[in-house]
Amino acid sequence: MALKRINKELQDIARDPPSSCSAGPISDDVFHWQATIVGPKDSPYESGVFFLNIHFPTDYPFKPPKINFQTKVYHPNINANGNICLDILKDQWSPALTIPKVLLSISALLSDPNPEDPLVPEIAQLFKTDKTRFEATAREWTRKFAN
Amino acid sequence: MNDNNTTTSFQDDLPSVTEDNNNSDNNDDKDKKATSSNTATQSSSFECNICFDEVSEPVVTQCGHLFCWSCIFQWLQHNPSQQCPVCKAPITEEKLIPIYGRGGSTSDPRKNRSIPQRPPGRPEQRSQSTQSTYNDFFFGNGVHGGAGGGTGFNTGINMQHNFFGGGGVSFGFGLFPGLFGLHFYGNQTPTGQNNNQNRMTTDLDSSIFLSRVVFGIGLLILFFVLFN
Repeated sequence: MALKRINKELQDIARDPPSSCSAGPISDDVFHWQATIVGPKDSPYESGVFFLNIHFPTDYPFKPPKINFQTKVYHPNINANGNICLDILKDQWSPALTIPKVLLSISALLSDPNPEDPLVPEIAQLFKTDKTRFEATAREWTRKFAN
Repeated sequence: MNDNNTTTSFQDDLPSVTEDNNNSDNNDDKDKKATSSNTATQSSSFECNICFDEVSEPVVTQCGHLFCWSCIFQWLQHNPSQQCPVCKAPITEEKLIPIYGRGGSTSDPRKNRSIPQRPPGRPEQRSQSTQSTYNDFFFGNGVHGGAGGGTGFNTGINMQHNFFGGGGVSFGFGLFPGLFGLHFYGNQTPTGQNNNQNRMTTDLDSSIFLSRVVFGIGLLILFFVLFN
């Protein structure tokens, strides 16, 4: 089931490639993908290219894929290990979601951080109190690590 | 994304059908193209929203989303909040509607025996079925035919008709419609054809007893009226 469904998604991506991201298996193992997201416009991540690791569980799509950033990101909901705090990757997962849809949600999270549910409280605090400094640091990290 | 595919395939279907109908020679190449693209996307017309494959043993939710029975069953096991995977509307196993097409599916999707059979269809019961059981009762049992006549007056014109066919002798029994109505239900339910009625059997055990007591009292009153 999982293998068939992953292959279907791969076919869909090939037929209708998503605009600002890409995804596909790294090697012969289709349960392990690599994806890229282009930093969304009008955000401090603009023009950065962010790499992500995707691991599909054996009971996919009943369980969400494990996704984490390989590229360092300065963001209240993404920690130093690249873990992402996003509801659809946890309790709000639905088997009707696909990798392009999830990547789009992650891209939306880059544009709109959620400081009320932070993974890195210090960054969330800075985002709330001094947005200019937060954006300057995020832009600096994007230039340093995502280019 | 899947929804988009479905729409696209339907849109693809339309021009190819009209072109086929025109059957013009000039459009031969175009026809071939349309047919090939049609076959390529045709399988996506009725894809399951979970496995993205053609649905096997299709069921549809009340919100209109299509799934394989085995897929949605597994999801309901995984998902304690019991939500539709597409729109998050609350769903329950009981309210899923199975879809039966002509011919049926060629392969058995229930190779995994841990998945139970999908729920059966639940057509609305019409009152006609109740009427036929009344018929069986009246004609099958001549002694109580008259007694049933009383019930007939209560439940409708058709019942009356059946009753008069059964025999005019018992017209006077109509004086006690409620009593004989009770008696009828008590006897009929355990042998009833309708499965739903079987559920009520336990509830009716006591009412069977009660109805017999009432029936006895009714007989006594009748004798009293007739022989005084």
